[in-house]
Amino acid sequence: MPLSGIDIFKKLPKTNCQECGVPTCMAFAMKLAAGQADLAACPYIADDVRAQLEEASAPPIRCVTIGTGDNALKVGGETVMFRHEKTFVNPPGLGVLVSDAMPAEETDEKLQRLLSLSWERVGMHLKADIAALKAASGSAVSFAALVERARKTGVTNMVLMSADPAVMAEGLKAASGLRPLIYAATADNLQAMADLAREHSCPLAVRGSGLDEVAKLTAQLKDIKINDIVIDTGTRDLHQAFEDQMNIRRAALKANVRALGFPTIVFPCEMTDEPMQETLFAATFIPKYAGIIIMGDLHGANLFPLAVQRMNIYTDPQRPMATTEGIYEINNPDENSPVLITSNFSLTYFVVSGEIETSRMPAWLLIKDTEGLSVLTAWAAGKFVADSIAAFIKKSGIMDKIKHRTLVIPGLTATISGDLEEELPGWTIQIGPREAAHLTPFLKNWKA
Amino acid sequence: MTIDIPRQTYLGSVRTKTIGTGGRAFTIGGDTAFPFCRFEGEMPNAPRIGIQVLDCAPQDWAPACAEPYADVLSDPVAWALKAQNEYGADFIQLWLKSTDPNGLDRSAEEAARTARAVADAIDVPLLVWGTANVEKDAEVLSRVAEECADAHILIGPVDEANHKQLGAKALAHDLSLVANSPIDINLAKQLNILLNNLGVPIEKIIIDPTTGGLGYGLEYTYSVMERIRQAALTQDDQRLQCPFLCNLADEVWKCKEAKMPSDEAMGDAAERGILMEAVTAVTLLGAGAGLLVMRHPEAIRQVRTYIAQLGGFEMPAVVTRPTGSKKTGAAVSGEASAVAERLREGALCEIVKIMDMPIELAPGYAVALIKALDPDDERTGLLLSSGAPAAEEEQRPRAAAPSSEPAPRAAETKPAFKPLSSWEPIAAGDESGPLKNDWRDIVRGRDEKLQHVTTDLHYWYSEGYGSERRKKPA
Repeated sequence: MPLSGIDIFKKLPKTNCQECGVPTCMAFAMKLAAGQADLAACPYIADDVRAQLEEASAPPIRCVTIGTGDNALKVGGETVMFRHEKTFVNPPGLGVLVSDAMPAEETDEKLQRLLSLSWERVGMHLKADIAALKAASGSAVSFAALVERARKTGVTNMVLMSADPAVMAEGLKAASGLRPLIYAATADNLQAMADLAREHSCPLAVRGSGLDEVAKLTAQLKDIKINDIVIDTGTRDLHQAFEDQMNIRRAALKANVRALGFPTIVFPCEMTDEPMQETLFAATFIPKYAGIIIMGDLHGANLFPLAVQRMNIYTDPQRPMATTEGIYEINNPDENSPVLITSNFSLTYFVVSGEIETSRMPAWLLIKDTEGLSVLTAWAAGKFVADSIAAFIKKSGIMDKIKHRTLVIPGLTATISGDLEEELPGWTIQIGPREAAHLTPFLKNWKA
Repeated sequence: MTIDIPRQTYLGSVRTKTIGTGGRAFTIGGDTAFPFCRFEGEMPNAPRIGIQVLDCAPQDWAPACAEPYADVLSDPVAWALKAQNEYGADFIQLWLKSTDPNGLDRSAEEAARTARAVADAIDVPLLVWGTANVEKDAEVLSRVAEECADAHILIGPVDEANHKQLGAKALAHDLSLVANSPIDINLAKQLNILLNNLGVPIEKIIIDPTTGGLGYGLEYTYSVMERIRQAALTQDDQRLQCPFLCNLADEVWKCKEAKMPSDEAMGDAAERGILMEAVTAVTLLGAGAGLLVMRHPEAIRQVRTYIAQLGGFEMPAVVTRPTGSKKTGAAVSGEASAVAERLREGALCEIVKIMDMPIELAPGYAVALIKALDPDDERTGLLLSSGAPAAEEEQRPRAAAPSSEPAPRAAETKPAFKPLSSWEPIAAGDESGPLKNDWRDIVRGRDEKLQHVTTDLHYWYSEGYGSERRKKPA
């Protein structure tokens, strides 16, 4: 269990020396408990106490990084069971499996797609993250060649898969400097794999059958100071894997079981032969609670839905998604096209712009910064009211783009139209529909 | 090393609910643990999938989802039959899109005829769905409820703004309701309380939390469903223990990514659309969806297979019947029909209480709580008279003589209509049921009840929870 401020205070020097930058030891303890201060700031703490406190203040699920640089994949670090309790932090990595027993063209094709598929959405970059390279032939040479090939294609985040430490060693040489995930240490090869992980400073996956064996393996690794661990519970049954994911998250968060406080890896590609089912299995593990998800194949039709689902689930519910303030042109508007204004809550933007697109009527859509609040909430909070809207209209530059001076406001905020007419002399304020769904008939009948 | 896995403590369960009557009726709900957590509780009934049928030919549908229905798109009856017979729909959602005042604006009368025709043609349960225009829905769905009074349909969406009209109709015709609230646990609970206050038993309610499509607000729906299910299971909140319906078909297929043509980056259009629909369904199932309204047959097939696998259910056989089979079903169910059954056999009954519906809700209707006069049978039930109610003193006590009449009909005495000045909502069924300690027992009078409804326990989101944060409950 995480220590309380009082527990931490008991272990501090209680000298109130202020060298940590906080007036009293008590205040410092409280900050530590809240995760707002770093233990290193206290110069007088004894080493054994420091180790104790560090262990106690470590996150319940370790954050593990695979790869290096900006493109590295960070998984784990989660603190809640339900996203509404706070937020999920590190989206699971989506990956594709290739093996050294596959024809070279197939490997190339899959890796090319892995690297090239990406979409922009609400300022987010949607893409796959990692390639799982499997030594299926058993030959170290052919495995090294596969890693080499992937590296040349441009893959930087890798899972290297082999149960044979000798084969793994060759693969790691070919991937040197990339910090791949070593998959996997088992009861049979634990020491040899641990040595490789230490030698190459790579994270290490463990595969056991069931949670008890996994916990035993991770505890052994922790004893020899291997801490960057990823868990595979061994099962390839959908429901068992689902149960394992739930239980690992619970054990780590609710019972502070350190031996299970690591991100997980799942293999939908080995759970079914039906590609569509495989996608649905992956869609199960994105919200519930995998760290890395390896698929048999990724292409636009399955990666796009999964990447969007992942974006949705990992959106921080504490912070509404917002769209950039500005003028949005829809269906090639001209100087006589209608001008509509709404809030910058992303969902509002999506729905309104979508409906205007569907109507096939050209229009200028003004998105006003309302700090991500929806129309009615923004109005109630004073962020979608006459004076600020008028100021935005004037500085937006929309007046240079249109001949008329007519502004359509959301039906829900009809009440501001009078004030707005005063703030915007010369403008006619029109009241739009209350629901975006009714924009099509509105726009079809629109006159300046 | 043996790991002690902490178990979730569950205090409540999701209500079981039977949808429809006859051979194709099915049951959902009954969960005693979070969705698919079979290792620590029961999930006795598989979630079910309905197919959406429109009452007018759809415009702008993605070719991929129009294609399987191409020959029936302009005929709702043929469409519903195809969905039932060829694509194995567990139920049909008839979306009365043509009644939208901002669209074709067809009349309630016309809509009711369509609903009747579909109800007569299919064997699976029918959910009749409005356009979310509260005034028009009140009118259209009321008319539909009358027209399909004996077909045991479900109606929705019931909104806070029209819950009185539609709640009264549901009560009058013993229908189940889909109560729609805008992605908010407190508003969902409030609507259930308001309906319950009107006399609609909580057992008749299905929660529609409002479904956002993939990339278009799905996460809001997901979290509010998880939050509601948490309240139902871990806090035993009886007013939130209803099954969920997720109306995802149109939310997925109307978005532009589902309509874009095939290309290198976005892949095959049909496969993408199917997977967008199926991934959305899987996400909602993970949050507790009991009824899914879907569209593409392949997406439905995939999700059905998935449910069977994750939930450990036997794959439900897809029942097909020759086209044109008629549906016969009793209009009343449960305790009420058991009481009615006794009356048919000539048992005596006592009218415990009779009340007329408030005149603005359902003029001319009365509701009676009757009790079978059999010392071994403590059951009471709710029966309805369809005509103008008699004054209370003329009705009580009244013993039904042995006869073939199906239920005591106050209308037969045809007294002058005389509305009571006040009314008391009553719940059907056993009074020692789960709602016995309900708040309604401790407060008096309608005003006090309404006061209670607006100030009773509400759920709070964790500190700073997004745009849904509220200082005061709605």
